[in-house]
Amino acid sequence: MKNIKNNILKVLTVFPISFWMLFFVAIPLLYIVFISFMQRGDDGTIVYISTISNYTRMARPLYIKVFLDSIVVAFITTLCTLLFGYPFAYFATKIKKYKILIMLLIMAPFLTNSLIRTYGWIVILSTNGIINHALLITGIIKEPLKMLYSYGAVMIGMIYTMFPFMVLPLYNSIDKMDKAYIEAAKDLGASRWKTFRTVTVPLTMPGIVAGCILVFVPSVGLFFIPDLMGGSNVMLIGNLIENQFMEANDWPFGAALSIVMIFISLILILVYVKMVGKKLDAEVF
Amino acid sequence: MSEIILEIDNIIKKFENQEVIKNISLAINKGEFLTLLGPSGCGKTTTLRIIAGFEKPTSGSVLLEGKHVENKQPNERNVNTVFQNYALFPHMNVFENIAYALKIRKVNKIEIKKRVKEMLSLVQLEGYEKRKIDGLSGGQKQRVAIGRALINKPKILLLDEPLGALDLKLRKQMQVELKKLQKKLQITFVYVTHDQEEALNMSDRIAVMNEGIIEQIGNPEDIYERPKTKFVAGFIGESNLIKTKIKKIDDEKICVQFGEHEMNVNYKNYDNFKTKESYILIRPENIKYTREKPLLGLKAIIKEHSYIGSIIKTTMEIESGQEIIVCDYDKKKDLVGVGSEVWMYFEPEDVVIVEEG
Repeated sequence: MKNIKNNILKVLTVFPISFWMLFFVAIPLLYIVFISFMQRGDDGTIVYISTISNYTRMARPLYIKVFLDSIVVAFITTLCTLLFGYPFAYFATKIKKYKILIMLLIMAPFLTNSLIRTYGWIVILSTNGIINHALLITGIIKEPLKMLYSYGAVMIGMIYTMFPFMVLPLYNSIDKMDKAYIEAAKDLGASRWKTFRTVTVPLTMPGIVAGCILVFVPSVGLFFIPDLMGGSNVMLIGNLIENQFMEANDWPFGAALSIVMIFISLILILVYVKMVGKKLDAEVF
Repeated sequence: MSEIILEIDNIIKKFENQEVIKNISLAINKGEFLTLLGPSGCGKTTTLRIIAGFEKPTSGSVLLEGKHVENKQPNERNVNTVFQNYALFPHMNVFENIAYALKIRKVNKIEIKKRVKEMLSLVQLEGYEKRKIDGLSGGQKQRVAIGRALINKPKILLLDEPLGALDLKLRKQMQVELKKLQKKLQITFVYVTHDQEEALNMSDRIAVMNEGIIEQIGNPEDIYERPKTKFVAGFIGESNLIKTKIKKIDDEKICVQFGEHEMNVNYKNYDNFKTKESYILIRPENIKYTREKPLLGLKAIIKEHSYIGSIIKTTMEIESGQEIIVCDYDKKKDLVGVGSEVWMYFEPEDVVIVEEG
């Protein structure tokens, strides 16, 4: 009896997750793979004749540039969030008194839709926005600066949006590290910087890797920030895919782009894991 | 008198409003094995951390070979530490851990290899160079930690309860090895422990600490045979303390109240008797009991006999209601039955008068 009861329990716990994974992840993904090998009809519908032209089309320099740009933007975003995020997380662990406040400040943006927060940046950066307004009034500039609709603006938006995803795993792994290691290094003659380089960084590597993956992967595919803050001047994979589905009505090509993007992300994650952590601390995820 | 390597002068340490170290002064001789002994929270680890440089004293000075170091960083003093949980770097193997201090100092590679090899043989870990820290036993980690701390040839090696995590047998074995190592290297060891047996076994001198002060400092025999305060007497070994009154003090003897009698006790350690309560300290092994009334003794009732391996421990109650513990090594002796009335007595030269701490 007990066995049967146990089994029912097992099925009941596993079923919702399996159901979810099957219907909302596996089947849609397989569908995307399927249509990526189909053709676009003249009226924008999907014609069920198999082809690989959607993939060969990507070899054109125009699309290769889009892919490279996306990777570069994601890479710079990851690097900047890491460079800002590490000291931030490090000092946040030092001031235990304000731990809750700091965590709250990091989490607070999540309470607002990121789309709305991006509009906030537009208000700040646009030609008649707050910064230009202030600079014009104080007489520092005569003509408003053109800050929006550039790669720079996209970078600012991306770094801002992805910052918490870097800080949280970093904070976690820095906080968890036994401070005795730092004392041991100092005791053995290491300066602050040497201690940081030879002990703190290697021991918080799981957090660094986790943060980088959590920032890099979404950054490659993020489409609304380049769309809103980059305008027509910036074309990244996310926008390209969005365009295929929403405007060009070329679902097969959009699907093929998505598949390639997923593969690029997966490969980069794999390289990362192989490179930095043979034994990755899975707890930080 | 041997050369003083470290001098601690009127150290006070406060954490927020709590005074962890009330006032400590201590001079450590070159090549000495000094133990800071005391219960947890007595300030012994804080004292060690002040010597290492992890904590700055609130006031007072620390002199290493006559030079002030109290404001120097840990990496600026030639003192190394063996940490309580070893704190071995988990991302490095045994060789890299031991070589760490040399690499930081940019010693050349051939020299590093040579010195690490020597160190490994000193701590008996030859062939373990490539081992991961995770894969070592507690005793092996202990050896790596000692090797790592010794590679720089420190002036003083600080050890913070280094054997605390090991099982009893290994602990005993490591005690002997540590002592041997210290004798061989002639390095000053400052050792922190709460284990009185460990302290008695290894130290040249012991500083018994309690609530932020040093109650007594002396060699193991002094501490055990001639404790000065009630705290030291109670903390080191088993002891019976019977409250007494001092009647008279002359050049050689102290005359104290003992039951209805007065008893003359050797002077030994007693030097402050004015205001504090005094006690007669009798070690359990020095008490005898008989059915016939001795010349000087106290009436007692046998409460319990318990067999503890090499000894028989007898608990008896004297008339004041206090329990007295007696140890007997002669296990073949006929035991007086529980509940019977006996007289406990001892030789006056076996006891010490101690005072409230």
